[in-house]
Amino acid sequence: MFIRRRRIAPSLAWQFLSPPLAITLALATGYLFLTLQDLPAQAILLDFLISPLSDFYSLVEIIGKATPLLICALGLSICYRAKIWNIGAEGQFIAGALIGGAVALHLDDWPSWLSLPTICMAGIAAGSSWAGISAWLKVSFKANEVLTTIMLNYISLHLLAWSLSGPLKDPEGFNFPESALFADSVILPSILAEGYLSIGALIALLLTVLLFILNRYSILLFRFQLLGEDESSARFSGLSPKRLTLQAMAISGGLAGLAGIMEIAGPVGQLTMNVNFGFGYAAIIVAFLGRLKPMGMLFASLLMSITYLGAENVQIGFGIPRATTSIFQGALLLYLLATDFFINFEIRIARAQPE
Amino acid sequence: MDIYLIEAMITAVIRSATPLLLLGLGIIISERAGILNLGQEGMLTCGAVASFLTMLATGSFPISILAAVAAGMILSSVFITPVLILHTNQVATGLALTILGLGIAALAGNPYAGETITAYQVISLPEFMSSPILRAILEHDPIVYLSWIIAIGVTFFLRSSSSSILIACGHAPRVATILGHNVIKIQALATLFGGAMAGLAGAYLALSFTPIWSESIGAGRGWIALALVVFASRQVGRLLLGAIIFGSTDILQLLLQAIGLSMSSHILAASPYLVTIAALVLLSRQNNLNPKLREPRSLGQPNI
Amino acid sequence: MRNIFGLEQPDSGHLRWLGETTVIPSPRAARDKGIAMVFQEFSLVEEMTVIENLYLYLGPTFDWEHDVLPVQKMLDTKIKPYSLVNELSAGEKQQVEILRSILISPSLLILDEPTSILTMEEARHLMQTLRALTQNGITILLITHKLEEAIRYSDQITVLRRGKVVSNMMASDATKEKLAELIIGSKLLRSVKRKKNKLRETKNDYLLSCKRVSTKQGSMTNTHLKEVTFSLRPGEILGVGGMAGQGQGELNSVLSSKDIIKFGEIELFGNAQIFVMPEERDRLGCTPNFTLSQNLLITKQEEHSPWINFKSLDQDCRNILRDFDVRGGKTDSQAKALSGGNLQKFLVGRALSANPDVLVCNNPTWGVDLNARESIHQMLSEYANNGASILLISQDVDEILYLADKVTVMCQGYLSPTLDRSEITEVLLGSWMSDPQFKALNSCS
Repeated sequence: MFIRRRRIAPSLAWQFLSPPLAITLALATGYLFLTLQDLPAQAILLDFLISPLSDFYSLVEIIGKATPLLICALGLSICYRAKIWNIGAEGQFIAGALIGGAVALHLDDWPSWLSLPTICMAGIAAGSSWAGISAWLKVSFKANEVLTTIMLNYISLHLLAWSLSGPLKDPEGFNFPESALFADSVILPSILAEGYLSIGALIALLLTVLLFILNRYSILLFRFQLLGEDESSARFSGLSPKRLTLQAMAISGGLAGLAGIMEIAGPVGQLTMNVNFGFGYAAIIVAFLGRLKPMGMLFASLLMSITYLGAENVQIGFGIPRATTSIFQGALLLYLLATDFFINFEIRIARAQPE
Repeated sequence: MDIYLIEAMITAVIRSATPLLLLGLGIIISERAGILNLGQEGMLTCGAVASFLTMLATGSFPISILAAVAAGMILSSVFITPVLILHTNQVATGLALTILGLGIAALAGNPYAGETITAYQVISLPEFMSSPILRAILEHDPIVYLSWIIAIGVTFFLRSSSSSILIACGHAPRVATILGHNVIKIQALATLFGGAMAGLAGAYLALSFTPIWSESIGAGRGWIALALVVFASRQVGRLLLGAIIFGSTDILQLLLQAIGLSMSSHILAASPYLVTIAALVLLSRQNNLNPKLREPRSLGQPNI
Repeated sequence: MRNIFGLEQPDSGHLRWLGETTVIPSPRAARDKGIAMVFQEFSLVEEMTVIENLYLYLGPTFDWEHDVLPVQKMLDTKIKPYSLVNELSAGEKQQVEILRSILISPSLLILDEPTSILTMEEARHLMQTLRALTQNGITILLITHKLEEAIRYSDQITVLRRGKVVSNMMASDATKEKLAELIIGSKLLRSVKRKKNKLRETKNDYLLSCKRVSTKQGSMTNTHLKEVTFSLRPGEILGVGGMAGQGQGELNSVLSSKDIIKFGEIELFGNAQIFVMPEERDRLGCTPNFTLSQNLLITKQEEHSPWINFKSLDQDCRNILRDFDVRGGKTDSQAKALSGGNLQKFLVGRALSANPDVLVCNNPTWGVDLNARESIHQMLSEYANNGASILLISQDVDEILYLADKVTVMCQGYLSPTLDRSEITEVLLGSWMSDPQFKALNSCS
């Protein structure tokens, strides 16, 4: 008979082992399902995971897609460490894109060095305030933040649709729900000579390193962690959980807003309903997959980005719908949560009962 | 306002309240047992696709409903197994279930996007009950009736002495264990019931409410129902009231047109979510004062 | 005892029940065999009514009038069926537990430290009831750390030390000294009482004073403070006695953050630094998943704001481990890896290393073995001798009488008048613990 025992200290080995194990299990499940449907499982999985890595332009696109995922996830990790379940990166992303984009449409005659920081700040402020609504409702009315952030996700999507059908609609856009194309001066510069990879990728990398350092040395991040680990202890040491909650949400929302505006003022170049939304939800998976650690999330965002591109490839190559991405992502998260069990528990074979 | 508009509005309110009521009943039972399953949207959509596809294949309503219920239960077991055995974080596991469920539904329904089926026929009242208002209230399809029966059943169950075991699992699983109850089994059953209800709600959406397949058929109702249950502080009566209020926001457009106001459809579409937030704010605070209405103490906590 | 009740399984060996070797796989199996247990932490659901809690254990097969009332009569209790458990006093909750246990007509009733939350009078009453139950053929297994209780009310005593039976004797053969020796494994270390120290005079006579402090009603379960007044002089230890949950937690909180005060004032004189030790018994003392360094950082946040200096933090942490003889952990081990005694020593060390003028500690030796208890008492006593004042909130009467210079009692949010140690008797303390009027006994008016 097997029995489980709680480990005295969490297993370091399993902390590193469980993500690859979860990925393997998710792939194995995919293989099984594809084989059951009489599809060439091996070829599909290769196309799904390996082909996006095979040429330069795909690699650039992987990094480009990973950028918003990573920035959102960095913000979410701060909330999750404080055990504030912000599910609203999606809405905060859209808020950042919408307000930042609206500002960008009006700043086309400013020089780039002035307009770009301005629209980025506008995006950050918008994301921050959007998250701030949920934080405020949580601290003053004890309204569950999971539900309010999700409601705000839906609201922001409708708000975007409304803006694009009204105030921000491109007057020459044949009634499509799109804004006008942004002027070149409000498009983020590329860091590559060939192809387009916005400077956002570099900013994401810098933010990752910054969070890595802050996680270790900043007392504020320690306080967030303390709030999540032991709220009563935090309160006892004179901290205000309300203030910390507001701060964590504001930072998290600000980062999501930044990701939103950099996506709009970067690869997309206009406000449109056709942006690949869903980044905010995928970032949740990135945050968990990366174990809320900056370097972990860097790898996780790249992996998730590969699955998006891979899904496009298998759609073209094999006619398999893109929804497979979310199945893979959902299964991956489930497997990861399940294998995390071994970080804190060990399975022993019980000695037989003497008798 | 003429009588036919009122009739249409009552029918519409009941129709849009039904999926929320069904979802809410399932959530009430699982949350009373201490399980927070955020995967409602995924289970709902999978239930919808299961019934839609079964309907296309068999043309039988009862079989389609059963398929939806089964789909919901299978998905809820995907949630509850890691939660109970491996103590995974319920919030994260629920989110994973939502993502997984939406993916499965989108994949399965992909070839049929935009296809329609014949909607479930309403059961006509006997001739002598011809009052339009009465017809609007009582003339519905069998799933609506089923939701009423289940609501009554859940109400009676929660009033019976046997519900104290369920409630004890939600507040103090340790105590329930000490007193000789199998908490894991009870929580698993409660979650499966939740899955079945979400599946049934999905069947209603696909077979009756919008019998055209679209992968966004759920439209966030799973999440709204979760909020509604908080609003109702896990009481069936208040859930019913909440579902009706939310059903009414769905027909807001109809109402506004009737009184001669026009508003952007996008803003109207956002109104249920705004109302949800307002409801959360209004009730989250005062529910904590009465211990009978308080959130189950170990809701969402791993039972170790 | 968790083995007998089926909550845990033995690794080896076996249980004999009524002469037969048995395995008790679950609490339900224990109940079917007629074993009932009253835990130290109640196994009642606070949010449910008394009768719902009975359903939970007995199923809906009993009748209040017919089955419960006779037992109530026998136990001399008056519990109402529809009152919320939440609103019952600790004593009443225990009565519900015992009531429920007896309703299954057990042949063995196990009680774990039943008197720890009762007043002396209630405890005596309970013990007499238990004796009466044995007349009805119920065997009672009483787990207690109160030596006198064991000697006076039991027939047979078994002493356990670190999971091993060290002795088994008839109660008539036992003496307090003998039992105490068996329990700690050596003669009691404690012999000298703390010498009365000279109170240093300062400009202000007091370091800390509280004047008629009342707090807001927090949650339903908390007792709020009502016009609490006391003052602390340098070099003085003021003991606050009383049963658990009479407002001690609130007193702790009110001294650490002032935002819950309704009216009244708290004054600290001459820039005195105050350190309030959170109560470990309420699991407030440490954050179990954090390392010892991180736990130290919790109380040193200001020093490390905005940037954490790990070098000095680790050094400080090592100093505490060394100076206060904390064993079984390094600076980077998780707090939960430490034994109760060592953890408590660490927490006291953490408090003292902050060098406060006023230290507030709440049950500093709760759940600690006798040796650690001894060294913690030593630490506190020495610290006061150096001129600091200590507010010692404790449910342990012995501890208060041993350490404190002055004594007061907390009951239902009220604080009794402060008495000198010489004026106080155990009888007076005991009666004040259940009397918020704090009537003086005839002998000490």
